[in-house]
Amino acid sequence: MVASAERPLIFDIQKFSVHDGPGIRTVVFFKGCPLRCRWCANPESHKYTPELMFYPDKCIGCGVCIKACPNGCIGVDHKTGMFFDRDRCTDCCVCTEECYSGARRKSGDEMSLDDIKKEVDKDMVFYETSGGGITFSGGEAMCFPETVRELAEYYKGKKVTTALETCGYVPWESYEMVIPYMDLVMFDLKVMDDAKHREYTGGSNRLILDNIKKLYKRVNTVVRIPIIPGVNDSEKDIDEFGRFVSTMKDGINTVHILPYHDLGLSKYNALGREYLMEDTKAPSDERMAEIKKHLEGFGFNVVTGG
Amino acid sequence: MNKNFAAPEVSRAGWKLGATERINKLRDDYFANGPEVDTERAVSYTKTYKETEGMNISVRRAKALYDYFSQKTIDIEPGQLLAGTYGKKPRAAVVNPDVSWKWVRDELDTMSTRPQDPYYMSKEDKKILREEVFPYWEGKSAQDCFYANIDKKDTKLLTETSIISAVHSETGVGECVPDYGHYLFVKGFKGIQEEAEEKLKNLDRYDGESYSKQKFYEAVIIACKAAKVQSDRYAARALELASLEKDPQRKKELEDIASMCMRVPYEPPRTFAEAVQFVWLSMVLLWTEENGTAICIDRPDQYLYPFYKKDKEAGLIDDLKALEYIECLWIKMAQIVYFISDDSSRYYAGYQTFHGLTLSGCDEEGNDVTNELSYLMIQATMDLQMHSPTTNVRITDSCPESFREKVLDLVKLGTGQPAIYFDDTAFGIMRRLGCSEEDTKDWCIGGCVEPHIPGKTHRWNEGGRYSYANAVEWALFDGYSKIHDEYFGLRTGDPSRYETFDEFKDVVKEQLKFLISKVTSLILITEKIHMDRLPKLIQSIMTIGCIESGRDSMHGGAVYNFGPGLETTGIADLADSLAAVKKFVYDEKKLTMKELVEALSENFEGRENIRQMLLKEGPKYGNDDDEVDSILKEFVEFAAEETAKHKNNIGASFCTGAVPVTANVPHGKSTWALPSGRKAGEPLADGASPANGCDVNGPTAVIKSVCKPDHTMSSCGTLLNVKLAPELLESERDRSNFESLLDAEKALGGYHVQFNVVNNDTLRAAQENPEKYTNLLVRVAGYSAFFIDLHKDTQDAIIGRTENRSW
Repeated sequence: MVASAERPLIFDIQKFSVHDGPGIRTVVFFKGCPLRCRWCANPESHKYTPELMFYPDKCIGCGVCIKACPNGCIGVDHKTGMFFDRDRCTDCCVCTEECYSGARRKSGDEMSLDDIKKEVDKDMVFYETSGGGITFSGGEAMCFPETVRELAEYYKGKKVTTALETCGYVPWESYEMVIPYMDLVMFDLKVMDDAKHREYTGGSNRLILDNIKKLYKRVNTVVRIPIIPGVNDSEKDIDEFGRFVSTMKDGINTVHILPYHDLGLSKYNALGREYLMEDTKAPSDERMAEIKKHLEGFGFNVVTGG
Repeated sequence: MNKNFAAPEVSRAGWKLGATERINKLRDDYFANGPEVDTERAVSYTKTYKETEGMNISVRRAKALYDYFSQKTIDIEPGQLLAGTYGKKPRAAVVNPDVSWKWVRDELDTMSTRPQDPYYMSKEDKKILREEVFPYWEGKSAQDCFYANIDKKDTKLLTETSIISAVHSETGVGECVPDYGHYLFVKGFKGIQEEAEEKLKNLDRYDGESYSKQKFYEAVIIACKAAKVQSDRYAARALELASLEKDPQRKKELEDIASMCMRVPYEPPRTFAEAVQFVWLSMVLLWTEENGTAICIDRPDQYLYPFYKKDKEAGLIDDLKALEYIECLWIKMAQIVYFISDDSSRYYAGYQTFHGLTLSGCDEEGNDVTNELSYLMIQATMDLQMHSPTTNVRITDSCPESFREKVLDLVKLGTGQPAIYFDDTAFGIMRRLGCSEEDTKDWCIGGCVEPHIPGKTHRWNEGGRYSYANAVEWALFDGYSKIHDEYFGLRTGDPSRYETFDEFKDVVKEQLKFLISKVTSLILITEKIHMDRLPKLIQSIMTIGCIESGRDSMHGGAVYNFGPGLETTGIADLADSLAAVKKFVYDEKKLTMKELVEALSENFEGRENIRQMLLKEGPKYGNDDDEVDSILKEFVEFAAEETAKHKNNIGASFCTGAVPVTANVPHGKSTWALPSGRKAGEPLADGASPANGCDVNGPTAVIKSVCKPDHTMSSCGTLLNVKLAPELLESERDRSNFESLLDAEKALGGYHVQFNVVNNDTLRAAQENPEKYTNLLVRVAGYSAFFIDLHKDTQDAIIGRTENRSW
């Protein structure tokens, strides 16, 4: 692993984010995730190492990358034009330092905590006027618990709100480290059936369900459910979600439902990976409304889109 | 905060756009009738000028005004509650040969079909102009005098390039923001006439200025009588129409108009309706004087409030009636057409006259003064959704939440209205200019975003224009303007010889100094010509201090005199270019200056990789990046200081601002490729906004960047456009975040922000099917225009502004 607690791998810092906690927020995206949800819209967040993303439509054919690549993965074929041998690419990303067109980009930069703070601090005035702050996301930010703890403690000290988006698939000890400094946790629930959960996310949901049962008693928690047609959107699925979350009514009263979208497709192509959900369509507004109503029947405040 | 009111409930069942049937009809009439050239004033002025050869110019112009109003064709539109039109017809494009005429002659046959802002002209009118008007004015108009006094190279610079402009060689000035509440409503034109008569009687004959003062007072008296003859004739016409009217309701309305016009603006108004009529007839007088722009009605929610309150209590009006009067006035204001040449229309696209109003704000003690009329006036702008008047809102610390909500409702409509201003920065500007603390609190907008003190300031903000980008171009190319194949800039030599970035930066400053000096020197000529040949009597009547001092507003009669403004464009292009030179040539040495200049010379042909590097890897203004923002701050403040060193004809300092109108498009056409990665001829960045597509970190970063320079130094105002997709203002939460953005900009020392709430799909569809989008209003710069009225280049520039979808 390249990254460390002192220099985590960050693949994006997004300002003016207004769907990830209260007010105007800055989201810090940590690179690396223990799950592989098939619908993931941020496939560049999976690995714990930097990756090359290649967007051929942006290529202007200047050829600087050919010289730059130490492994000779890029070249000119007189019949087909430029070629890129993805199989031999080691994600060293040297080519991205020479490519200015935006066709070759490196995803994931090691950043020091000071660098992260410097970037997040820039919007301090907006956090103050809106009640916003910092949101830790990923990948899975909880793979860097020491980093999150230190940043969260720093921002709590600055009277800025802190929020965490998490998939739940991390050791409980990690949450223990950050709970005292976290104002809000947005906790993903994906599938209630464990076998299905393994099939679609690559991991068991047991740890996840155990974690949320402990977590909600200690910190303000919102449940987030991505609605994936054909995976977790049947009446039975929704009912199972409703019944499970109802067991935590003494702390959880808000459920966000996030409709599936395929906006991540181009990123799979850019990473040279296969997208397994190509046949899946976004759920209709009507279906989302039905699901909302269904969950509201359990007495939750249900928000579509988070 | 004024707590003695409840926000008026003006919505009613079935209320559609345009409010009442009357207003809907007037609005439809507006769209059905395009601008039409009107020659009546030209003929009348020509006649009076011929009869008064050799006489004092003030008296001559007063007589010309009086003669014109004595015989002008007048009428009252069906359904209108207010009398008064600028020309024969409501949307008249009035020819002012005393100001300029040659362009009219040259464009006679193309004017009706030109791409931007065409005016219809009849064959008869062409004949009248050719035979009765043009022959007299050869060598006599203000514009003729201007070109007679500048050299060939400057003439070429002004007429064949769009590097700089000095519009008031072509049009009148305007830029008058009268004080209705404390001054005109108290005195009426009659009161001012009497004061002038008194002054005339008691002239100090020992005073060397006594002759000038005598003529000034004589002219003022005639101009006041012109005001009276105008309203008297409308009163007579209203009575005539009333006598023929069958519908008893309309008959009563016409009789009301007659009774109002018998009184105002000669005498002070007594009712809400009379006050509104007073404002409108005064505006017609100001317009007629010289086809100027930016004639604003200061703070109508304040000065109309006592009348509204009194009439409402007396049962004379209710909120809906008040709203109908306001909407009648708004439509009247929208009717006025700026008559300008094809070339100028690209700078001031959209038939814009820049007359606006300012709502809310505070009293002299700093208390918020939002009242019922503030809400009704926002409602009027929402009902009409027209390009004019421009609605400006002052947001104070204690602005009522419900008014902020109302403002947001208007923003959400996506008409680009209103422009939002933060009081503290405006106070800072006015204090820096030397206004008293009490006056400062009364500030309002006069034009796009230019702050004035009602009735007390004389200033031309729109003196001339330049773009910062040319200073960079000239520093790189030894003063050469490649697009025009001529050395218009300073010959500063080969840029390769500068060893450090600071040396290069200093040369850019030299070029900028030269550019500023060039524009101010030309403005001094236009200003002097206006002083000598176009004295402004109506403006002087409406400007406090002129009658007392016996001096015309152009000659220092006003309480506050601020020098003409130099409006700027392309500061983002300059900052992005310099930051790129610093990074790639001096810091990282990825390019030599020679390689950079070669790539630019070729307009990046065959050097796309270099362009991509400059464009994508160069620091860009608008992303809260100090590397580039600090350069921008340095240059904005340098230009402000440099400009202020220049003095105008009466010794006042020139001012600076970043109000682009649509000048970023023509300026861009005259500017070669830049180190920012922008190609030759492309539009420049508008106002204080980032370059097209270069702000990639969302609105918070834009606002942070924009607020870094000291905005109080740009005394003509600065302008920030933020385009938002409409879905970003849907939920309660979105609205609350939007308000947080405003609060943050205020806290950061911002001055202005305006929003285009449309999406690019809509704009593209409108380009393809203009007939389906006749009402699509967009915020262009300091104003809104109907999108389909804009030239394709300007449309593209608007589409190119980064749309914030990430909300």
